[in-house]
Amino acid sequence: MLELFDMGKYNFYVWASIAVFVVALLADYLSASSQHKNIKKQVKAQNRQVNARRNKS
Amino acid sequence: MNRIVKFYHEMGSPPSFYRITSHWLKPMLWLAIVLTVYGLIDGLLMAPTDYQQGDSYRIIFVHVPAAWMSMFIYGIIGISGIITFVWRMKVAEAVMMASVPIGALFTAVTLLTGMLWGKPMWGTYWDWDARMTSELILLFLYIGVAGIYSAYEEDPRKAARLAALVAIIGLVNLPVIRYSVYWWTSIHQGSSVSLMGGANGIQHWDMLRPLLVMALATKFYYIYSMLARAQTYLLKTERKKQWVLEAIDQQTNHNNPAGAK
Repeated sequence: MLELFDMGKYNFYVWASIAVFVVALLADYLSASSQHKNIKKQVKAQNRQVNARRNKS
Repeated sequence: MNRIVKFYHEMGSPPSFYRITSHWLKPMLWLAIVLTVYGLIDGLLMAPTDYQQGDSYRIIFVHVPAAWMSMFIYGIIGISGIITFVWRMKVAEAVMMASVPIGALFTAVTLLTGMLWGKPMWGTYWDWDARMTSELILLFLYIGVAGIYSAYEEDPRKAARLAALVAIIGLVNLPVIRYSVYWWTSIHQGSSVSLMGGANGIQHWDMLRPLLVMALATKFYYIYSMLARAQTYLLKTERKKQWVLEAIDQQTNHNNPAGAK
């Protein structure tokens, strides 16, 4: 089984490339989804303010 | 036909774009993950070894899909740039700016994995060769579009129009990248896959399949990333509008049906 993972003298180059690809996409996922969550949170806070103002008057 | 026209008009309005694409995020992400896992296992562990390049050719399974995406996404940016410039559609602005980070990332991945492939095959990480130089210019174009936008960020509509102009001018670089290996003498190899078949490039289905699976996986991931960022963009730039408040309220109520606030 393990010999399947062995790229011989190209081990470093192949696995480093795969790592670059995976890490890059993971970083993009984390940044895209956290920005998405943050803006929703901000809009919700804004909603609460609007509702509070409405309830007062 | 009417349905297509209706769909087009719906996608052009921020509220319906937001509502429709909200349902697409999760499926796209899952398709991307499943296909990436399958494609990498198939490509790295199952596909046969190349008779010339040995195991080093396996870098193709991340390098070529990333390279295709770097150009495909720039094409999308250019087209939405034209729509932004001519028709001033807000959704096109969102799609354009949402595509920039993921496109730049794919370009960087292409350059880095290309360097890691170049070292064992050509004996050097970098050469100022037509293919590599034009791909590097593509990265600068992505950075340029993002930079122009952020310079005028306090006025998003103006920022988007100026960024669109840079994006449209940059379109000229796409055919240069595509044909660089034919127009100039290059140490970069020619295309591995051609639509017409032919005797060049990959012949073996067991090598081609993981490559095509990875190409699909990166497409789905792009759709996910772009839509998530486009939604963020619209919520941010339209946050004073009624539809944003209603859309978020609805999602909150949908998630807690008890109405807990």
